[in-house]
Amino acid sequence: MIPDFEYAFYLWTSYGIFAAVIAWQFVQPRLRKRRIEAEVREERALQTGSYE
Amino acid sequence: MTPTRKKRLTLVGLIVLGVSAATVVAITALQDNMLFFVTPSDVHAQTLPPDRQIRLGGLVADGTVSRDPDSLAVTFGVTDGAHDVKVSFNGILPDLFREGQGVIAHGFMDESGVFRAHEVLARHDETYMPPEVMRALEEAGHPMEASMPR
Amino acid sequence: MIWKTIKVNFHRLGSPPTFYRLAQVLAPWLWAGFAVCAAIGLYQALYVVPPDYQQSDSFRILYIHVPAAWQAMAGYVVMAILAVIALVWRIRTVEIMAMAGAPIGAAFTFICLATGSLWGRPMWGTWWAWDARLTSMLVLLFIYLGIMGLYAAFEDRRKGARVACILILVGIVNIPIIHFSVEWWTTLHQGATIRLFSGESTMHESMMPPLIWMTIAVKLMFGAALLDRSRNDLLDQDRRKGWVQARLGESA
Repeated sequence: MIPDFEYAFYLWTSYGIFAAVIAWQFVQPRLRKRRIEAEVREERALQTGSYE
Repeated sequence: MTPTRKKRLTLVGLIVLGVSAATVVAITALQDNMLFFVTPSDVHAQTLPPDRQIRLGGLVADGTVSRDPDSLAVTFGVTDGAHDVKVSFNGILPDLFREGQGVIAHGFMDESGVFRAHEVLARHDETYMPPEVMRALEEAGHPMEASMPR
Repeated sequence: MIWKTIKVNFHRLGSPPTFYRLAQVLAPWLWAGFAVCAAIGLYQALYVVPPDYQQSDSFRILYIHVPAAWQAMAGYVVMAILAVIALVWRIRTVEIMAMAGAPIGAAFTFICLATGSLWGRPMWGTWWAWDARLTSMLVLLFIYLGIMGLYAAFEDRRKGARVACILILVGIVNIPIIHFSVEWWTTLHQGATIRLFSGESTMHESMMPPLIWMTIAVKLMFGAALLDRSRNDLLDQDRRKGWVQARLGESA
């Protein structure tokens, strides 16, 4: 399944770094969006006094 | 386009132009320092002060590699086609090191005209092909010639 | 007539709610396209293409190193175009997009430098060398980080964006330097393999497909991440405005 490569350490570390960085680029905006939305809801709840 | 925007666009153009001009001047002035290595011809053409550390780049000349059987010491010729320099090195060579391969040696010329390297790097060329293609080329009588580092 | 339609749509895009909605629809498709192209590219890179005659399997690092390097540079050019539009027309969504490109460009520059180092160790015999190509790529990373820092340093986001846009324009001179460094000076880094305009590419055609797939993949990914990040910045800056309140109202 996993091919047996020469220089396997360098190869897999490279692909690992690529995967990790791309994954972070995908996850980070989603986490931030959730945080901003939570803050906006919180603020609104404080102003109107009503928690939805 | 409104006059204000035209003015801003001109300003943007001037910024890019100015920075480009400054950069051209700077890298022209620093030309020699931007070179990572010099060639055997450069070494031949100018008498370098002894003990001055330089990087020498070229191809490992065919049939010049001789290894000391008891240690890591090795000597080989580095050529750029026009001139050759003899290099002596004591250490582990990179995997790509072989005759005809581009290499860069860091060290200095000693009094006897031998380049004493304390580090040897391989320089892989920009050609990529499968081993079978390489063999086919050799059998057809067109072996790949290692490209000359510039 | 057509010109007018383009102009109207261009201005409509400048409106945050319209841009937000468009980005929301477009980004998932770009991510999906990235996933498909990257899956094909990675499969070919790791299972299909033969090893190199000289570098053996280590050359497979090329399939992420080179697309990342190209994207780091292409992303910068995109940012520079956005910066010109932002500075001349002062469209807020464009300012935000120009700024959102920096962390993604920095990410690709980092991938390029890290994988290049992991390639250099076994092939050249060193992790790093201060040659013109490697150094100018490191400078690109610092420029990206500088843009992010400058933008963040201003209390007024729009002012910060404009100042950072000027830095983008100043930094654009580095892009041709990176590209031509291997021709202008002697470097440890080898010359260009893939040539679009001058001469033949020196890579065997059997090794080309994964490079093409991965290049398309990272281009789509850049677009997707750019929209995601711009959207968040709009949401963050406009959190007290009606359109955000209305959006969150309906999704709450």
